[in-house]
Amino acid sequence: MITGELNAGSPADLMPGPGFGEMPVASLIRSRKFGGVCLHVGVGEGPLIGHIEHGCRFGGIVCLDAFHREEHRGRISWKAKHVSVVENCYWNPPAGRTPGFLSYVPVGEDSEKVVAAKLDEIAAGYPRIDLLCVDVNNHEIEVLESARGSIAKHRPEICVKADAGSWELMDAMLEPLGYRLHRRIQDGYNYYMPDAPWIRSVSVLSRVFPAKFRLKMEAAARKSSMIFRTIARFAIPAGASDFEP
Amino acid sequence: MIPRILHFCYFSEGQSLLRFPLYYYLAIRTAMHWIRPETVLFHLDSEPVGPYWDAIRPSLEIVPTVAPDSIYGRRLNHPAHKSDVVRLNKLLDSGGVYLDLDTVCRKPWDDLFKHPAVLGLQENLDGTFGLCNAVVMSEPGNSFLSEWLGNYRDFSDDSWDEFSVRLPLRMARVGEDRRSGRTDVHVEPPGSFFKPSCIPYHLKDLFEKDVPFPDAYGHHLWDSMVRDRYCSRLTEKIIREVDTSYNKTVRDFLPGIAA
Repeated sequence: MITGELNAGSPADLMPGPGFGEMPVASLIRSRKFGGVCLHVGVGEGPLIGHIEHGCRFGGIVCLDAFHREEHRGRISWKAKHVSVVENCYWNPPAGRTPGFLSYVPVGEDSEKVVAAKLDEIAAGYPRIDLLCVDVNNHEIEVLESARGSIAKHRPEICVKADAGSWELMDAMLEPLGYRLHRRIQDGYNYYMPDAPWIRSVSVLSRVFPAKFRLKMEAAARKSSMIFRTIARFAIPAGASDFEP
Repeated sequence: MIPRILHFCYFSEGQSLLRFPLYYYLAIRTAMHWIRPETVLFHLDSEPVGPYWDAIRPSLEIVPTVAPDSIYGRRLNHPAHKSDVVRLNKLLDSGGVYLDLDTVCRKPWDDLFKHPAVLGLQENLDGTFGLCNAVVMSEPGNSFLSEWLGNYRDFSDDSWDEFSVRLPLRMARVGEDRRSGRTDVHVEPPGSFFKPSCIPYHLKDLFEKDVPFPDAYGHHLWDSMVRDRYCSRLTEKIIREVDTSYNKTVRDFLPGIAA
Protein backbone atom coordinates (compact mmCIF):
# COMPACT_ATOMS: atom_id res chain seq x y z
CA MET A 1 0.00 0.00 0.00
CA ILE A 2 1.20 3.52 -0.70
CA THR A 3 1.73 5.10 2.66
CA GLY A 4 1.60 8.73 3.66
CA GLU A 5 -0.84 11.39 2.64
CA LEU A 6 -1.43 12.67 -0.85
CA ASN A 7 0.22 16.04 -0.66
CA ALA A 8 0.53 18.28 -3.67
CA GLY A 9 3.60 19.93 -2.18
CA SER A 10 4.65 23.51 -2.65
CA PRO A 11 5.07 24.87 -6.17
CA ALA A 12 8.34 26.38 -4.99
CA ASP A 13 9.71 22.86 -4.58
CA LEU A 14 9.06 21.96 -8.18
CA MET A 15 11.45 21.86 -11.04
CA PRO A 16 10.51 24.18 -13.91
CA GLY A 17 8.74 22.75 -16.91
CA PRO A 18 5.38 21.43 -18.04
CA GLY A 19 3.42 18.63 -16.46
CA PHE A 20 2.15 20.40 -13.38
CA GLY A 21 -0.40 17.63 -13.01
CA GLU A 22 2.43 15.28 -12.08
CA MET A 23 2.62 16.81 -8.61
CA PRO A 24 0.17 14.49 -6.89
CA VAL A 25 1.81 11.34 -8.16
CA ALA A 26 5.26 12.68 -7.35
CA SER A 27 4.11 13.36 -3.82
CA LEU A 28 2.59 9.94 -3.65
CA ILE A 29 5.85 8.33 -4.68
CA ARG A 30 8.06 10.30 -2.36
CA SER A 31 5.77 9.64 0.57
CA ARG A 32 6.79 6.00 0.61
CA LYS A 33 8.37 5.05 3.84
CA PHE A 34 11.02 2.62 2.73
CA GLY A 35 14.00 2.52 0.43
CA GLY A 36 14.14 0.59 -2.78
CA VAL A 37 14.83 0.94 -6.47
CA CYS A 38 12.66 2.97 -8.81
CA LEU A 39 12.98 2.37 -12.52
CA HIS A 40 11.76 5.57 -14.17
CA VAL A 41 11.15 5.29 -17.90
CA GLY A 42 10.65 8.55 -19.78
CA VAL A 43 12.42 11.28 -17.87
CA GLY A 44 10.77 14.44 -19.04
CA GLU A 45 11.23 18.07 -18.20
CA GLY A 46 8.37 17.91 -15.74
CA PRO A 47 8.60 18.15 -12.01
CA LEU A 48 8.32 14.43 -11.37
CA ILE A 49 12.00 13.62 -11.51
CA GLY A 50 12.88 16.69 -9.50
CA HIS A 51 10.34 15.77 -6.91
CA ILE A 52 11.66 12.25 -6.64
CA GLU A 53 15.23 13.41 -6.53
CA HIS A 54 14.67 15.92 -3.79
CA GLY A 55 12.26 14.18 -1.59
CA CYS A 56 11.78 10.48 -2.09
CA ARG A 57 13.12 7.77 0.11
CA PHE A 58 14.16 5.43 -2.63
CA GLY A 59 17.69 4.17 -2.39
CA GLY A 60 18.13 4.47 -6.14
CA ILE A 61 16.38 5.87 -9.16
CA VAL A 62 17.28 4.49 -12.55
CA CYS A 63 16.29 7.05 -15.13
CA LEU A 64 15.80 5.95 -18.72
CA ASP A 65 15.05 8.09 -21.70
CA ALA A 66 15.31 7.90 -25.45
CA PHE A 67 17.18 11.13 -25.63
CA HIS A 68 20.34 11.85 -23.77
CA ARG A 69 20.40 15.35 -22.37
CA GLU A 70 23.42 16.60 -20.53
CA GLU A 71 21.36 19.06 -18.54
CA HIS A 72 19.29 16.15 -17.27
CA ARG A 73 22.29 14.23 -16.11
CA GLY A 74 23.11 16.93 -13.64
CA ARG A 75 19.71 16.64 -12.07
CA ILE A 76 19.44 12.92 -11.86
CA SER A 77 20.84 11.73 -8.63
CA TRP A 78 21.72 8.16 -9.23
CA LYS A 79 22.16 6.95 -12.74
CA ALA A 80 21.20 8.05 -16.21
CA LYS A 81 21.14 5.83 -19.25
CA HIS A 82 21.11 6.76 -22.90
CA VAL A 83 18.56 4.16 -23.81
CA SER A 84 14.96 3.73 -24.65
CA VAL A 85 12.75 0.72 -24.30
CA VAL A 86 11.42 0.45 -27.81
CA GLU A 87 13.58 -1.36 -30.32
CA ASN A 88 14.50 0.34 -33.58
CA CYS A 89 12.83 3.57 -32.62
CA TYR A 90 13.10 7.18 -33.59
CA TRP A 91 13.23 10.26 -31.43
CA ASN A 92 11.04 13.14 -32.57
CA PRO A 93 11.91 16.43 -30.95
CA PRO A 94 9.10 18.69 -29.76
CA ALA A 95 7.02 20.34 -32.48
CA GLY A 96 4.66 23.03 -31.32
CA ARG A 97 3.06 22.01 -28.06
CA THR A 98 3.73 18.29 -28.32
CA PRO A 99 6.53 16.92 -26.15
CA GLY A 100 9.15 14.86 -27.93
CA PHE A 101 8.17 11.27 -28.49
CA LEU A 102 9.33 7.98 -29.96
CA SER A 103 8.01 6.36 -33.10
CA TYR A 104 8.51 3.03 -34.83
CA VAL A 105 9.44 4.77 -38.05
CA PRO A 106 10.61 8.27 -38.92
CA VAL A 107 7.48 10.41 -39.04
CA GLY A 108 9.21 13.61 -40.11
CA GLU A 109 12.54 14.72 -41.46
CA ASP A 110 13.54 15.73 -37.94
CA SER A 111 13.13 12.14 -36.68
CA GLU A 112 16.39 10.85 -35.25
CA LYS A 113 17.26 7.19 -34.78
CA VAL A 114 18.20 6.43 -31.19
CA VAL A 115 19.85 3.62 -29.27
CA ALA A 116 17.22 1.23 -28.03
CA ALA A 117 16.88 -1.73 -25.71
CA LYS A 118 14.16 -3.76 -24.08
CA LEU A 119 13.42 -2.91 -20.48
CA ASP A 120 13.98 -6.53 -19.48
CA GLU A 121 17.55 -6.28 -20.80
CA ILE A 122 18.19 -3.15 -18.78
CA ALA A 123 16.50 -4.43 -15.66
CA ALA A 124 18.40 -7.71 -15.73
CA GLY A 125 21.29 -6.07 -13.90
CA TYR A 126 19.27 -5.07 -10.85
CA PRO A 127 18.63 -7.43 -7.94
CA ARG A 128 15.41 -5.63 -7.02
CA ILE A 129 12.94 -3.21 -8.55
CA ASP A 130 10.29 -1.77 -6.27
CA LEU A 131 8.61 0.79 -8.45
CA LEU A 132 8.30 1.08 -12.21
CA CYS A 133 7.34 4.58 -13.40
CA VAL A 134 6.43 4.99 -17.06
CA ASP A 135 5.69 8.26 -18.88
CA VAL A 136 6.47 7.72 -22.53
CA ASN A 137 3.83 9.44 -24.64
CA ASN A 138 1.76 6.58 -25.99
CA HIS A 139 4.47 3.92 -25.87
CA GLU A 140 3.38 2.60 -22.49
CA ILE A 141 2.06 -0.70 -23.79
CA GLU A 142 5.33 -1.43 -25.58
CA VAL A 143 7.31 -0.53 -22.46
CA LEU A 144 5.24 -2.84 -20.28
CA GLU A 145 5.43 -5.61 -22.89
CA SER A 146 9.20 -5.24 -22.96
CA ALA A 147 9.28 -5.55 -19.17
CA ARG A 148 7.16 -8.68 -18.74
CA GLY A 149 10.08 -10.70 -17.34
CA SER A 150 11.09 -8.02 -14.85
CA ILE A 151 7.52 -7.48 -13.73
CA ALA A 152 7.07 -11.19 -13.12
CA LYS A 153 10.39 -11.44 -11.29
CA HIS A 154 10.36 -8.32 -9.11
CA ARG A 155 6.62 -7.63 -8.76
CA PRO A 156 7.14 -3.85 -8.60
CA GLU A 157 4.38 -1.35 -8.03
CA ILE A 158 3.69 0.25 -11.42
CA CYS A 159 2.80 3.85 -12.13
CA VAL A 160 1.99 4.61 -15.78
CA LYS A 161 0.93 7.84 -17.37
CA ALA A 162 -1.39 7.22 -20.29
CA ASP A 163 -4.24 8.70 -22.29
CA ALA A 164 -7.68 7.35 -21.47
CA GLY A 165 -7.64 5.34 -24.67
CA SER A 166 -4.81 3.16 -23.41
CA TRP A 167 -6.22 2.44 -19.95
CA GLU A 168 -8.28 -0.51 -21.04
CA LEU A 169 -5.33 -2.02 -22.90
CA MET A 170 -3.07 -1.59 -19.86
CA ASP A 171 -5.62 -3.05 -17.48
CA ALA A 172 -6.08 -6.01 -19.81
CA MET A 173 -2.35 -6.54 -20.02
CA LEU A 174 -1.54 -6.22 -16.33
CA GLU A 175 -4.47 -8.13 -14.89
CA PRO A 176 -3.25 -11.54 -16.12
CA LEU A 177 0.12 -10.68 -14.59
CA GLY A 178 -1.55 -10.43 -11.20
CA TYR A 179 -1.93 -6.66 -11.00
CA ARG A 180 -4.93 -4.59 -10.12
CA LEU A 181 -5.53 -0.90 -10.58
CA HIS A 182 -4.96 0.77 -7.22
CA ARG A 183 -6.09 4.21 -8.29
CA ARG A 184 -6.19 6.63 -11.18
CA ILE A 185 -4.52 9.86 -10.30
CA GLN A 186 -5.08 13.14 -12.09
CA ASP A 187 -3.36 13.77 -15.40
CA GLY A 188 -3.76 10.16 -16.48
CA TYR A 189 -1.45 8.43 -14.01
CA ASN A 190 -2.56 4.88 -13.28
CA TYR A 191 -1.14 3.20 -10.20
CA TYR A 192 -1.12 -0.60 -10.23
CA MET A 193 -0.38 -2.83 -7.28
CA PRO A 194 0.72 -6.45 -7.54
CA ASP A 195 -1.46 -9.11 -6.01
CA ALA A 196 0.25 -11.76 -3.96
CA PRO A 197 -0.04 -15.16 -5.68
CA TRP A 198 -2.48 -16.48 -3.09
CA ILE A 199 -4.98 -13.67 -3.69
CA ARG A 200 -6.07 -15.15 -6.96
CA SER A 201 -6.46 -18.54 -5.30
CA VAL A 202 -8.65 -16.92 -2.66
CA SER A 203 -10.66 -15.20 -5.40
CA VAL A 204 -11.33 -18.50 -7.11
CA LEU A 205 -12.14 -20.40 -3.93
CA SER A 206 -14.35 -17.70 -2.50
CA ARG A 207 -16.68 -17.75 -5.50
CA VAL A 208 -18.75 -20.34 -3.68
CA PHE A 209 -19.41 -17.81 -0.91
CA PRO A 210 -21.78 -14.82 -1.03
CA ALA A 211 -20.36 -11.67 -2.67
CA LYS A 212 -20.04 -9.73 0.58
CA PHE A 213 -18.02 -12.50 2.21
CA ARG A 214 -15.90 -12.95 -0.91
CA LEU A 215 -14.92 -9.28 -0.90
CA LYS A 216 -13.91 -9.54 2.75
CA MET A 217 -11.73 -12.58 2.02
CA GLU A 218 -10.02 -10.83 -0.87
CA ALA A 219 -9.44 -7.69 1.18
CA ALA A 220 -7.89 -9.76 3.97
CA ALA A 221 -5.62 -11.51 1.47
CA ARG A 222 -4.50 -8.21 -0.01
CA LYS A 223 -3.79 -6.78 3.44
CA SER A 224 -1.63 -9.74 4.30
CA SER A 225 0.15 -9.27 0.99
CA MET A 226 1.01 -5.70 1.92
CA ILE A 227 2.34 -6.79 5.29
CA PHE A 228 4.67 -9.32 3.71
CA ARG A 229 5.93 -6.76 1.20
CA THR A 230 6.61 -4.31 4.01
CA ILE A 231 8.54 -6.91 5.97
CA ALA A 232 10.58 -7.68 2.88
CA ARG A 233 11.55 -4.04 2.56
CA PHE A 234 12.67 -3.87 6.18
CA ALA A 235 14.75 -6.96 5.63
CA ILE A 236 16.94 -5.23 3.04
CA PRO A 237 19.58 -2.96 4.57
CA ALA A 238 19.46 0.76 3.80
CA GLY A 239 22.53 0.81 1.55
CA ALA A 240 21.50 -2.21 -0.44
CA SER A 241 20.53 -0.21 -3.49
CA ASP A 242 24.00 1.28 -3.94
CA PHE A 243 24.97 -1.43 -6.36
CA GLU A 244 26.10 -1.32 -9.90
CA PRO A 245 24.09 -3.32 -12.44
CA MET B 1 -29.31 9.76 -55.34
CA ILE B 2 -26.47 11.68 -53.86
CA PRO B 3 -24.90 13.98 -56.47
CA ARG B 4 -21.18 13.78 -57.13
CA ILE B 5 -20.34 17.15 -55.64
CA LEU B 6 -17.49 17.34 -53.19
CA HIS B 7 -17.49 20.00 -50.46
CA PHE B 8 -14.66 21.21 -48.25
CA CYS B 9 -14.77 24.07 -45.77
CA TYR B 10 -11.82 26.23 -44.76
CA PHE B 11 -12.30 29.02 -42.25
CA SER B 12 -9.26 30.96 -41.14
CA GLU B 13 -11.27 33.20 -38.81
CA GLY B 14 -9.41 36.39 -39.58
CA GLN B 15 -5.94 34.87 -39.70
CA SER B 16 -4.58 35.73 -43.10
CA LEU B 17 -1.93 34.00 -45.19
CA LEU B 18 -2.18 30.64 -43.43
CA ARG B 19 0.02 28.00 -45.02
CA PHE B 20 -1.91 25.16 -46.68
CA PRO B 21 -0.38 21.90 -45.43
CA LEU B 22 0.51 18.84 -47.44
CA TYR B 23 -2.06 16.62 -45.70
CA TYR B 24 -4.89 18.98 -46.72
CA TYR B 25 -3.68 18.78 -50.32
CA LEU B 26 -3.67 14.99 -50.09
CA ALA B 27 -7.15 14.93 -48.57
CA ILE B 28 -8.52 16.72 -51.62
CA ARG B 29 -6.45 14.81 -54.15
CA THR B 30 -7.35 11.35 -52.79
CA ALA B 31 -11.03 12.35 -52.54
CA MET B 32 -11.01 13.51 -56.15
CA HIS B 33 -9.51 10.21 -57.26
CA TRP B 34 -11.75 7.80 -55.33
CA ILE B 35 -15.03 9.75 -55.23
CA ARG B 36 -14.80 11.01 -58.84
CA PRO B 37 -16.78 14.23 -58.25
CA GLU B 38 -18.13 16.35 -61.07
CA THR B 39 -17.14 19.43 -59.15
CA VAL B 40 -15.20 20.27 -55.98
CA LEU B 41 -16.62 23.21 -54.04
CA PHE B 42 -14.19 24.82 -51.63
CA HIS B 43 -16.01 27.07 -49.17
CA LEU B 44 -13.63 29.55 -47.58
CA ASP B 45 -13.47 32.95 -45.93
CA SER B 46 -9.91 33.79 -47.02
CA GLU B 47 -7.43 32.02 -49.20
CA PRO B 48 -4.48 30.17 -47.67
CA VAL B 49 -1.00 30.35 -49.19
CA GLY B 50 1.82 28.00 -50.08
CA PRO B 51 2.88 25.66 -52.86
CA TYR B 52 0.30 22.99 -52.00
CA TRP B 53 -2.51 25.54 -52.24
CA ASP B 54 -1.14 26.79 -55.55
CA ALA B 55 -1.03 23.21 -56.80
CA ILE B 56 -4.59 22.25 -55.81
CA ARG B 57 -6.38 25.54 -56.41
CA PRO B 58 -6.96 25.10 -60.17
CA SER B 59 -8.92 21.92 -59.41
CA LEU B 60 -11.33 23.69 -57.06
CA GLU B 61 -14.34 25.91 -57.45
CA ILE B 62 -13.78 28.58 -54.82
CA VAL B 63 -16.94 29.62 -52.98
CA PRO B 64 -16.41 32.68 -50.79
CA THR B 65 -18.37 31.97 -47.63
CA VAL B 66 -18.85 33.96 -44.46
CA ALA B 67 -18.84 31.78 -41.38
CA PRO B 68 -22.06 32.45 -39.43
CA ASP B 69 -21.79 33.98 -35.98
CA SER B 70 -25.12 32.58 -34.83
CA ILE B 71 -27.92 30.21 -35.73
CA TYR B 72 -31.54 30.68 -34.66
CA GLY B 73 -30.28 33.42 -32.36
CA ARG B 74 -27.80 31.09 -30.65
CA ARG B 75 -24.21 32.28 -30.72
CA LEU B 76 -21.61 30.13 -32.50
CA ASN B 77 -18.31 30.87 -30.80
CA HIS B 78 -15.95 28.24 -32.14
CA PRO B 79 -14.88 28.04 -35.81
CA ALA B 80 -15.56 24.29 -35.75
CA HIS B 81 -19.19 24.87 -34.75
CA LYS B 82 -19.57 27.48 -37.48
CA SER B 83 -18.21 24.99 -39.97
CA ASP B 84 -20.69 22.38 -38.69
CA VAL B 85 -23.57 24.66 -39.63
CA VAL B 86 -22.09 25.65 -43.00
CA ARG B 87 -21.65 22.05 -44.13
CA LEU B 88 -25.26 21.15 -43.29
CA ASN B 89 -26.53 24.20 -45.18
CA LYS B 90 -24.41 23.49 -48.24
CA LEU B 91 -25.45 19.83 -48.35
CA LEU B 92 -29.11 20.73 -47.96
CA ASP B 93 -28.78 23.19 -50.83
CA SER B 94 -26.89 21.15 -53.37
CA GLY B 95 -26.27 17.71 -51.85
CA GLY B 96 -22.99 15.86 -52.28
CA VAL B 97 -20.17 14.68 -50.09
CA TYR B 98 -18.71 16.81 -47.32
CA LEU B 99 -15.26 15.90 -46.00
CA ASP B 100 -13.12 17.50 -43.34
CA LEU B 101 -9.71 18.51 -44.61
CA ASP B 102 -8.02 16.15 -42.15
CA THR B 103 -9.29 13.07 -43.95
CA VAL B 104 -7.93 10.76 -46.60
CA CYS B 105 -9.74 8.46 -49.03
CA ARG B 106 -8.44 5.04 -49.99
CA LYS B 107 -10.96 3.13 -52.14
CA PRO B 108 -13.94 3.81 -54.44
CA TRP B 109 -17.05 5.27 -52.80
CA ASP B 110 -19.41 4.30 -55.63
CA ASP B 111 -21.62 1.96 -53.59
CA LEU B 112 -22.43 4.71 -51.07
CA PHE B 113 -24.13 7.06 -53.52
CA LYS B 114 -27.34 4.99 -53.66
CA HIS B 115 -28.40 6.08 -50.15
CA PRO B 116 -30.36 9.26 -49.32
CA ALA B 117 -27.69 10.24 -46.77
CA VAL B 118 -24.68 8.55 -45.19
CA LEU B 119 -22.96 9.05 -41.85
CA GLY B 120 -20.31 6.95 -40.12
CA LEU B 121 -20.11 5.63 -36.58
CA GLN B 122 -17.14 6.70 -34.49
CA GLU B 123 -16.10 5.06 -31.26
CA ASN B 124 -15.50 7.53 -28.44
CA LEU B 125 -12.80 7.39 -25.78
CA ASP B 126 -15.31 6.09 -23.25
CA GLY B 127 -16.42 3.22 -25.49
CA THR B 128 -19.66 4.90 -26.53
CA PHE B 129 -20.49 5.74 -30.13
CA GLY B 130 -21.35 8.86 -32.09
CA LEU B 131 -22.07 9.81 -35.68
CA CYS B 132 -19.19 12.05 -36.65
CA ASN B 133 -19.83 14.89 -39.09
CA ALA B 134 -16.31 14.86 -40.54
CA VAL B 135 -17.82 12.76 -43.34
CA VAL B 136 -21.38 13.51 -44.46
CA MET B 137 -23.04 12.42 -47.69
CA SER B 138 -26.50 13.62 -48.61
CA GLU B 139 -28.99 14.23 -51.37
CA PRO B 140 -30.27 17.85 -51.62
CA GLY B 141 -32.96 18.69 -49.06
CA ASN B 142 -32.54 15.42 -47.17
CA SER B 143 -35.06 15.20 -44.31
CA PHE B 144 -32.54 13.86 -41.79
CA LEU B 145 -30.14 16.74 -42.39
CA SER B 146 -33.01 19.20 -42.36
CA GLU B 147 -34.14 17.92 -38.95
CA TRP B 148 -30.53 17.93 -37.74
CA LEU B 149 -30.11 21.59 -38.67
CA GLY B 150 -33.50 22.40 -37.15
CA ASN B 151 -32.32 21.00 -33.82
CA TYR B 152 -29.72 23.78 -33.70
CA ARG B 153 -32.56 25.90 -32.28
CA ASP B 154 -31.40 24.47 -28.95
CA PHE B 155 -27.69 24.88 -29.74
CA SER B 156 -25.27 25.19 -26.85
CA ASP B 157 -21.53 24.67 -26.86
CA ASP B 158 -21.48 23.41 -23.28
CA SER B 159 -20.63 19.99 -24.68
CA TRP B 160 -18.11 20.16 -27.50
CA ASP B 161 -19.54 17.45 -29.76
CA GLU B 162 -23.18 17.40 -28.65
CA PHE B 163 -24.58 18.77 -31.92
CA SER B 164 -21.96 17.38 -34.30
CA VAL B 165 -21.68 13.78 -33.02
CA ARG B 166 -24.11 12.85 -30.23
CA LEU B 167 -27.27 14.46 -31.54
CA PRO B 168 -27.18 12.76 -34.98
CA LEU B 169 -26.65 9.39 -33.28
CA ARG B 170 -29.81 9.86 -31.22
CA MET B 171 -31.71 11.14 -34.24
CA ALA B 172 -30.69 8.15 -36.37
CA ARG B 173 -31.96 5.77 -33.66
CA VAL B 174 -28.98 3.48 -34.15
CA GLY B 175 -29.78 0.07 -32.68
CA GLU B 176 -27.75 -2.76 -31.18
CA ASP B 177 -27.00 -3.93 -34.71
CA ARG B 178 -25.41 -0.52 -35.35
CA ARG B 179 -27.84 0.17 -38.19
CA SER B 180 -29.93 3.26 -38.68
CA GLY B 181 -33.51 3.13 -37.46
CA ARG B 182 -34.60 5.54 -40.19
CA THR B 183 -34.95 5.26 -43.92
CA ASP B 184 -33.60 8.73 -44.73
CA VAL B 185 -30.08 8.08 -43.45
CA HIS B 186 -27.70 5.15 -43.77
CA VAL B 187 -25.14 4.47 -41.05
CA GLU B 188 -21.76 2.97 -41.89
CA PRO B 189 -19.79 1.00 -39.24
CA PRO B 190 -16.71 2.58 -37.55
CA GLY B 191 -14.37 0.74 -39.91
CA SER B 192 -15.65 2.65 -42.92
CA PHE B 193 -14.41 6.13 -42.01
CA PHE B 194 -13.35 6.34 -38.37
CA LYS B 195 -10.78 3.64 -37.75
CA PRO B 196 -8.35 4.23 -36.18
CA SER B 197 -10.24 6.19 -33.55
CA CYS B 198 -9.08 9.50 -32.12
CA ILE B 199 -7.00 7.74 -29.45
CA PRO B 200 -3.37 8.68 -30.11
CA TYR B 201 -2.29 5.15 -29.26
CA HIS B 202 -4.54 3.79 -32.01
CA LEU B 203 -3.38 6.42 -34.51
CA LYS B 204 0.00 4.75 -34.52
CA ASP B 205 -1.64 2.15 -36.78
CA LEU B 206 -2.04 4.85 -39.41
CA PHE B 207 1.09 6.95 -39.00
CA GLU B 208 3.71 4.52 -37.67
CA LYS B 209 2.63 1.06 -38.75
CA ASP B 210 1.52 -0.53 -41.99
CA VAL B 211 -1.84 -1.92 -40.91
CA PRO B 212 -4.36 -2.95 -43.57
CA PHE B 213 -7.79 -1.36 -43.30
CA PRO B 214 -9.72 -3.45 -45.83
CA ASP B 215 -13.13 -2.00 -44.93
CA ALA B 216 -12.08 1.64 -44.90
CA TYR B 217 -13.33 4.04 -47.55
CA GLY B 218 -11.05 6.53 -45.85
CA HIS B 219 -9.75 7.76 -42.54
CA HIS B 220 -10.24 10.74 -40.32
CA LEU B 221 -6.77 11.90 -39.27
CA TRP B 222 -7.97 13.65 -36.10
CA ASP B 223 -5.41 16.37 -36.63
CA SER B 224 -6.60 18.22 -33.55
CA MET B 225 -5.14 15.31 -31.57
CA VAL B 226 -1.95 14.64 -33.54
CA ARG B 227 -1.22 17.72 -35.65
CA ASP B 228 2.19 18.35 -34.08
CA ARG B 229 2.88 14.68 -33.59
CA TYR B 230 2.30 13.51 -37.16
CA CYS B 231 0.32 15.62 -39.60
CA SER B 232 2.41 18.77 -39.72
CA ARG B 233 5.67 16.76 -39.72
CA LEU B 234 4.81 14.93 -42.93
CA THR B 235 6.88 15.77 -45.97
CA GLU B 236 6.88 14.35 -49.45
CA LYS B 237 10.25 12.70 -48.76
CA ILE B 238 8.96 10.92 -45.66
CA ILE B 239 5.80 9.79 -47.44
CA ARG B 240 7.85 8.45 -50.34
CA GLU B 241 10.42 6.62 -48.24
CA VAL B 242 8.60 5.27 -45.18
CA ASP B 243 5.99 2.52 -45.44
CA THR B 244 3.06 3.32 -43.16
CA SER B 245 -0.65 2.92 -43.80
CA TYR B 246 -1.09 6.63 -44.38
CA ASN B 247 2.03 7.08 -46.47
CA LYS B 248 1.17 4.16 -48.74
CA THR B 249 -2.39 5.46 -49.17
CA VAL B 250 -1.29 8.87 -50.37
CA ARG B 251 2.03 8.11 -52.04
CA ASP B 252 0.63 8.05 -55.57
CA PHE B 253 -0.95 11.47 -55.10
CA LEU B 254 2.11 13.50 -54.13
CA PRO B 255 2.43 16.72 -56.10
CA GLY B 256 6.19 16.56 -56.45
CA ILE B 257 6.84 19.89 -54.83
CA ALA B 258 9.94 20.31 -52.74
CA ALA B 259 8.34 22.42 -50.03
